Amino acid sequence: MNKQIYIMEPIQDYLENCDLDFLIMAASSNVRSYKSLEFIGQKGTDINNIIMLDFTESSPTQDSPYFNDYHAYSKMGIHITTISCDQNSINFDSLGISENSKIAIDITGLNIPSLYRIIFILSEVFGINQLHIFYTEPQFYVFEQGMLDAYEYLIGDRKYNVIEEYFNSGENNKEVLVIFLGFDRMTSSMVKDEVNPSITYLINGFPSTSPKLKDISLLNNYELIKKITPQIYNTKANNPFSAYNILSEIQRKHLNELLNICVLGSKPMALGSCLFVLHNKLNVKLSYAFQKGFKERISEGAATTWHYEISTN
Amino acid sequence: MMNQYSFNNPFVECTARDMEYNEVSKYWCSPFYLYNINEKMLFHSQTPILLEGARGCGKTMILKYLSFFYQVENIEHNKENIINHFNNLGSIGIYFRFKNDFGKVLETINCLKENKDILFEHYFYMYYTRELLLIFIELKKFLVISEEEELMLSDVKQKYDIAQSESFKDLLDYVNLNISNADSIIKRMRHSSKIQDEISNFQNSKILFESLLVAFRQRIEHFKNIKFLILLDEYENIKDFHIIINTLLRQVDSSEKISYRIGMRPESISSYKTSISDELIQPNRDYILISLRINNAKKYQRFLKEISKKRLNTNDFFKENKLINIDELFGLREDWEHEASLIAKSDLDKSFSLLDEKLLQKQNIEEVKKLLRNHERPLLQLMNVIWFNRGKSAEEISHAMNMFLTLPKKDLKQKDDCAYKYMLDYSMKYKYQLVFVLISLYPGASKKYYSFTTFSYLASGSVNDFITLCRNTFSQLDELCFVELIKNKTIPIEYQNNGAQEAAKEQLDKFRICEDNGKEMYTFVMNMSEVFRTFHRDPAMQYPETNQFAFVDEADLSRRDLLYTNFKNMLKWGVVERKNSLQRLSISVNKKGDIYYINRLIAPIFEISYRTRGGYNFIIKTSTFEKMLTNSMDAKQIINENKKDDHPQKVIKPKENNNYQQLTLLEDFGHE
Repeated sequence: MNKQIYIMEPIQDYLENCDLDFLIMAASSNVRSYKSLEFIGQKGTDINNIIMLDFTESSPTQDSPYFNDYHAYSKMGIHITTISCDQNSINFDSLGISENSKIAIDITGLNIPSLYRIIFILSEVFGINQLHIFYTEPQFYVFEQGMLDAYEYLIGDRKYNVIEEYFNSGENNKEVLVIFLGFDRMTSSMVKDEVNPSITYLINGFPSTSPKLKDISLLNNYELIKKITPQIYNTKANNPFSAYNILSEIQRKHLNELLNICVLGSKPMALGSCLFVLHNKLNVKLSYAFQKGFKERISEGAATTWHYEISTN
Repeated sequence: MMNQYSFNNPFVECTARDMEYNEVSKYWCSPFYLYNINEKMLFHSQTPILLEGARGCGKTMILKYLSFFYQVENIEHNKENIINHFNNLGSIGIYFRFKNDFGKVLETINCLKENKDILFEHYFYMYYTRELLLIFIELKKFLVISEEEELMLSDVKQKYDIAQSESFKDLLDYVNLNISNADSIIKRMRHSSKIQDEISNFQNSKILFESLLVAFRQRIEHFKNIKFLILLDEYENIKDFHIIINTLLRQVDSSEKISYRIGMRPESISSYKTSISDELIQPNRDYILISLRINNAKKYQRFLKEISKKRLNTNDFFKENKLINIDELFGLREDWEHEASLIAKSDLDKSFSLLDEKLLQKQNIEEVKKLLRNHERPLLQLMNVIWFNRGKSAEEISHAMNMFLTLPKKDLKQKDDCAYKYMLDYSMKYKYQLVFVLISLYPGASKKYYSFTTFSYLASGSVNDFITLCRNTFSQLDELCFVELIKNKTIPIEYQNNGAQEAAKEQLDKFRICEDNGKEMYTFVMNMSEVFRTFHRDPAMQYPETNQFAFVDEADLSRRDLLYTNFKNMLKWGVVERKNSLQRLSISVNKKGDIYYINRLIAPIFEISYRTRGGYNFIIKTSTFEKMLTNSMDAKQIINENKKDDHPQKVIKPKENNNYQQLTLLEDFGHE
C-alpha cells in the first residue's frame, strides 16, 4: 500500500475542503504574493482570520511605482486584518491563536528570516504542531543588471548573522556549512568567509523554476565554488521536502558536528530547512545573509501556487 | 596524463580556521623566525600575549600550534612522552574560536546589558570547560589520568553542583546541556518577557572551570606545576565583552597558573577598560602585544616557499615531477624589459610623442630622435626622452646610454659621472615606473603581474592572499599545461596574470561586501587607487611608483568619530595597511607620522606598483578623505580637492643648471 509521507499539491486541490482559523501572510509588491487570495476569493473559501503583515521595512511610500501593487490586497473584497510592525517585533499574542488553531501561512511575500521567525513563534511559542503553507512560484525573477552580474543589484548589501530563534552552539567547535545557492554574486562567498566551517556543502536548485536558473546560480557563485573542494547537491527549487531530505543525508555524514544552514535560494528551500531544524534541535542552526536595504520587486508574474502541509514536531 | 594523476588544486582550502589539528600539523611551517617571536615565551609567559595581525597572517595557525591537541598530535602517544612533552613546554593550551555569529547574536538579542554579560561569562567558561574536558578525556586515553578522574570530580563537586556526573564524559554531557539551555534562552528571548529571569539563576560557571584546573593539578602529580593557556581566537568577534576579558587579563596572577593568548585583527580592541573601578589594561604591564607584521622580505619569501612546497608535495603530479618549488614554477621575478619590448613592437618610436616640443624647436628633430633611439630596449628609449625633457642634450644622453650599455656597471662611477647617474636613474629608480608610462602610450596594452617575487609582494604579508594567488593560477591549468609544465618547468605568464587579476577582483569585491562600512571602504580604495594610477602613468615623474598616503592632520581625523571608525575598519579588514614605523609624511615635509598603503593585492586592477618606494606620498586632508569615502571621483578632482599650500604638491619647477635634478610629477595637474 502506498503511504503518503508528505503533502505537496496545487492550492486549488486543498481549498476544496479546507478548514482554517487563520491565514497569515505578508504584504508585498510582487504580484504573486496575493495569488492565494485570488484562489480563496474564487473558491469562496471561508477563513476566519486573514492576517496581513505590513512590515515597515518593506512598505513602499505613496510615490513608489509599486504602491498600488503592494496594497492590492485591500481591494480584493476579502476581509483582511492588517498588522503593521517591523520584522523584529512580530507578535501574535493578541490574535487569539491557541495550540489547537488551524493555521496557514502564505510564505510568498515573506522574506526568509521572517518566515523562520513566524514558524518558530507558531511552533515553539504557541505549540502548534501542524501547519499549512502556501507558496506561489514566480514566472520569472527580475535581473535588472543582467543575470550574470546580479550581485548587489538584485537585493543589495548583505550582512551575515545567525537567526536568533535557531541559534545553536553545537557540541563542539566544528561547523559544517550548508548553503542553498541563490543568484547574488559573492554572497555565498561572504557567508563562507564569515563562518569558516570545516566543510562546505552547496545545494543548487535543480530542477529550478525556469531552466536557466540552475546554471545562473552556479555561475554567480563561482567565487566560492573555485575556493573550496566543491560538494554540490541538487534539490527541487519548489519542494521543501526535497531540501529536507538532502539535509538529512548531509547530517548523517556529520553526526557530531554543528550544521549551519544558510538558505540564499528559494523559500520552499527555506521552509524545508526550517522544518529540518525544528526536527533536529541538537546540532543544527539557521543563518542568513540579511539585506541591509530592501528591493521592492524581485519577481514578475505568478506561476503555480502550492499547498504544503508540515508537521513541526 | 590526467588519468594518471587526479589533479586537485594544492592551494584550495587555505585558512587555518578551516583546518583540523592534523591538517594544521600537516601544513605547519614555523612562522616564529618570520615575526621574530620567541616560541618559548609563547608557552611560558605568565603575562598574557595578544597576537595582532591582518587577515591571513597566521594568528590562528599559531594559536592552534600552542593548543594541546596540536601538540599531542605531534608526539608519540604514550604516557611518559606526553608528561615529558607538556612539562617541557610548560603549559597546556585550550583553544577556542569565538565565532562571528556568536558575538553578533549576543549583541542583537533583546536583553539587558547586565544579563548579556552574565550570559557571555556563562558561555565563555562553559565553552572552555568543554574543551578542557576533551583534553582530560584524551589524557585518560593515554593513562595520564586514570583513577584520579573520580577524585578530581569529587573535588569539583565540593564547589560546584555537577549533578550526577561520575565521569568526564558525564560532565561533558552536563556542560553541553548547560550550553544548550543557554542557547534555548537566546532562542526564546524575543518572544517571552520572563525569560531573562532564567539568566540570573545560572550557576557561576567560572567556578566549575577553575575548580577543574585546580583538581587536575592537585591530583595529577606530574602536572602539579603546569600552566593552562586560554587560547582565545577572533577576539574581534566578541567586542561587546572586551571589558570582561580585559578584567581577566588585568587579574592574571602567577599563583593561579592561568594565562591568555589572544588572536585579533588590528584595531580590534573596543575598550581598554576593566570592571575594576577606573583601571585600564596597559601594554607591557597587563599584556604583551605582538604585531604579526613582516619586517624582512627575504624571511617572508623563504616562508612562502616552505608553505608552498608542503602543499605541492601533497599532489602526486607535482611531487613526482619534482615541481615543488614555487619560485621555479612562477619564475623568480618579472622581466620588465621583455614586457616592454612586446608592448612597443607595434610602434617603436611611440615614446617620441612625449618629447617636449619647446625644447625641440631649435633642434634637428630627426637628429635628436636618432640619438635617443634604442629599439632593442624601449624602456631606455623612454628614459632618454624623459632626460631630454629635463633639459639634457641629446648628445649627452646618447653618450650616457652608450657608456651604460658598454662599461661594466661597477666601473661607471669612476669613469663617467653622467653614465653613472644614468645607471642609477634607470636601474635603481625609474625602470618599473617606465613600464607603466610605456603602457599608457599604447592603447590596449596592460601590465602583467607574474613571478614569485611579484606574488609575494602582492600578498602584502598575508599568507592567505599568497595562497589565493597560487590557487587562482593553478585553477587554470589544464591537461595541456601539465605536459608543458614537465617540459618548461614554469607556469605561463598569462595564467599567472589571470590568477593575479582574479585575486584582485575578489579582494575588491570582498571590500565592497564587508559589513563594516564596505561601500565606503570600496569607494575610498577606488578613488585612492585612481590617483596612484594617474601618478604611475605620468611621464614627468620625479618620485616613482607613488602608492602611499598619509593624512595632513591625523588628530583631526581621529576627532571625527564616523570618519575615524571608517578608517579603523579599513585597517581592521586589511583594506589599508600602516607602515611599520613613523616616517616623514612625504618628501620636503619634516613632520613625521604614519604612512599607509592600499592592500597591494588589488594593484593589478589599477596597474600600479606592488612595491613601496617612499619619496613622495599623497597627503590627504580630512575633508578630502571624507569626500573620497562617499563620492566616486576622478583623480584630477581628488588632487584638486586636496590642493592647499600647507602640504606638498607635485609641482614642476625645473632647475635648469642642476644636472641631476629630476622631473616632477603632474606639472599642471588641476590647472587645465
